[in-house]
Amino acid sequence: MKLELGLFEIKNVIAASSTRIQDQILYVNLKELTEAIVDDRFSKMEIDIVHPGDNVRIINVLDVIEPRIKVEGGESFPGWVGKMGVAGTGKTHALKGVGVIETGIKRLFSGAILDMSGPGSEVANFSELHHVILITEPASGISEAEYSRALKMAGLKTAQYLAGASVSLQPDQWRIYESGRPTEPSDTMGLPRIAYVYISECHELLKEIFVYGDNLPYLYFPMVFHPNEFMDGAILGGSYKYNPGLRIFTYSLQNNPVIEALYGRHGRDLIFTGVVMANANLALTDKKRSAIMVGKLVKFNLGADGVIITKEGGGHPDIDLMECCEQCEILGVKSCLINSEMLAPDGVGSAMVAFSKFADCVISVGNIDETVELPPVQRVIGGETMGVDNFEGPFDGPMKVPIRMFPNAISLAGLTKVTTEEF
Amino acid sequence: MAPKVRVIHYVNQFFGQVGAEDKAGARPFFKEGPVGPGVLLKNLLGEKGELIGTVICGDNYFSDQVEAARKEVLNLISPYKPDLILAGPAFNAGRYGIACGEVCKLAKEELGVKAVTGMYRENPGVEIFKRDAYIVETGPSARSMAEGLGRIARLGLKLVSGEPLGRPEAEGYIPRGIKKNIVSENLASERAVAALLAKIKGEPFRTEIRKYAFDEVSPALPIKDISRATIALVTEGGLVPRGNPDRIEGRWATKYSKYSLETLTRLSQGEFESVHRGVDTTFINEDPNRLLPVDVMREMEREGIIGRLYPYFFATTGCGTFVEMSRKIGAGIAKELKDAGVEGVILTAT
Repeated sequence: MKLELGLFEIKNVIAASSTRIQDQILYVNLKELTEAIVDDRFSKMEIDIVHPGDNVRIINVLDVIEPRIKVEGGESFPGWVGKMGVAGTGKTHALKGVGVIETGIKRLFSGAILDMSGPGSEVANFSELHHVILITEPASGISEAEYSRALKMAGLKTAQYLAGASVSLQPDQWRIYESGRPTEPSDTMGLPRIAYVYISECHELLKEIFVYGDNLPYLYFPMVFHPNEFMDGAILGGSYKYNPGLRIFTYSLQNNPVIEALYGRHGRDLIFTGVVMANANLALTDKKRSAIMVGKLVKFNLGADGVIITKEGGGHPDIDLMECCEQCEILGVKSCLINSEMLAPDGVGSAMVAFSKFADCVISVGNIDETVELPPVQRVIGGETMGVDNFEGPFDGPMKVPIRMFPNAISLAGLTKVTTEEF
Repeated sequence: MAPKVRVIHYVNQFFGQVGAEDKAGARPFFKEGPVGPGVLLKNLLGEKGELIGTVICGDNYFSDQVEAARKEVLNLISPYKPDLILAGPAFNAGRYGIACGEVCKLAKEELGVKAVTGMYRENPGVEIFKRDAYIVETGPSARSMAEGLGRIARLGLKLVSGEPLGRPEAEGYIPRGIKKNIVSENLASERAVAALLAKIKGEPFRTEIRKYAFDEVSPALPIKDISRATIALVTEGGLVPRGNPDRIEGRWATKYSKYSLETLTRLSQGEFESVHRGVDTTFINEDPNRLLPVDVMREMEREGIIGRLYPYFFATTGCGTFVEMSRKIGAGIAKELKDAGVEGVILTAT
């Protein structure tokens, strides 16, 4: 499978009378964009633009999407804005340096806080992007789940609309994602064969992951994906009620850093053999069933010598992470895990709720409980109240916030430089 | 010029020039100015610090009479109102290491002043006190005295100055088991791939989260006669009276509460609700007995299967709570149940 991703480096985003890209600046006709995403499930839809370094705090951040459009051989976000079709082939354009933010308030939603400058911006890499922000309220009678789908659709349409400005232009750079199907050891030139296991936490409405336009059912069995499907919009985040530090944002799925890193060394230091997606189920038997199937797929279907395993979610998915680690290691597949740590605010707690004796190689994406002190800001975008987690305004004042409230500061997919060190 | 930092130095009977092992029972006493290694320490402090005096105590006395020794040392030190207490270094001497650790701990806890000591990495005092005290790393013997004291003085003065500390290796102290978030050079994903390739090749790699042991709780003895026993209901399902009067958090709970069941034969919809943020609470809120089976317990009480349902239930939220907080909440509930003479408990989870 071969995906050609055309990268456009965007240096600024400016509201204008026509939508276009010129000298690496994205000009946006906000009126036209608003019309393109109109949806009677919203009672309010306003669009704002912010830049890195702005004295701005965005609250109720629900998802962040990178603007992309399919220009040849497939569909944009298939099953959503595009027709049904396989993702991961053909040519896609991506606007680098830009994010589309969905914001909204509803009882069960758990929105993140994103500061575009100051100490909060030093840990949240989304602060480095220019953002087009959708500020919304639901129409009356719209359920949380329906609202979340309206938001996702509006976010994806915005992403496609913005990237649409690039269609007739030549990208600054093409990035090629191509991996075949090595079946024999001789195919791999003696290099280790590495697989990636992505453990989702998909249980119910608002705690779900979208694949080709629908959410995965709870208790789905592990399945093999081609890495390109991740990098081309087949898999999108939908955990609107999950705490920001425990969920993986769509942006981090489109730019899945483990897939990026494995592709970066593919054919040179390793052979990337594919991705297994599995769920963090609730009952222990279901966890164990899922883990043995993961081990089986990794070892006997993908023929891997090594595996990177990531998970989404908080405490109990630690068990899935450890069960999958064990089942792979028992079959002789060496593992490396990525996880966050729950160490209490003072950093002295126990990191996880489960720990296998096989888990000798674990990469940390930070202590989710450590607090960051935020200074006052000039402007707050995204509402006057926050849905949950006992945060009360005013939000323009100084705040003491656990790092888990910043989107993607604690990135369970590994798209962060935050980690812990013992002092 | 800033006033000099007032320093008190703690040493054992040997370095305090009282005597060797035969004087290890010596009770603590205070001497003005530097004693033994204190002379070098005074020089190391230079213009920034003033070594006011030295507390000397026998190692055996300290380890045999910890409480008394702590009290006496505290009484000797406090009148001098030091800014900084430096102890040892104790190198690989076990009892001396423990005494130095205790002195640093009391400096922090009782006097609220900064303290630094020094030990060899394998000194048993390291594991016991690394979280309470800054312990600089020294060699196993007094041959590393000059280097050890240099580190102790430097780190002590820095702590008092309020200047932020660098990483343990840079400052020369043994990591204290306190983890802080930092920003690494590389993405987590890149570090993961590098570590995995090293692991496969059999090369050294570094795990960033080390394995730790979990508590094992041995179950209590079976209840002799359940038909006479008081049984309580406890839940982590965030069940609270409507409106959540005690504001139990929906996740990352820091507390628990108890609520009366005295007049209730079952929990009614609308009177109780779950504030748990980790599960879909729809079915619990439709019928709270699904989470906390008061209805069934009352039946069993009527039928004489159990002696009595304890007239209160305990609730907290088990969601994202770090292990130490869970332990604290659990211990609190357990104590209240035990004190109330409850013999058995049914724990319901989401």
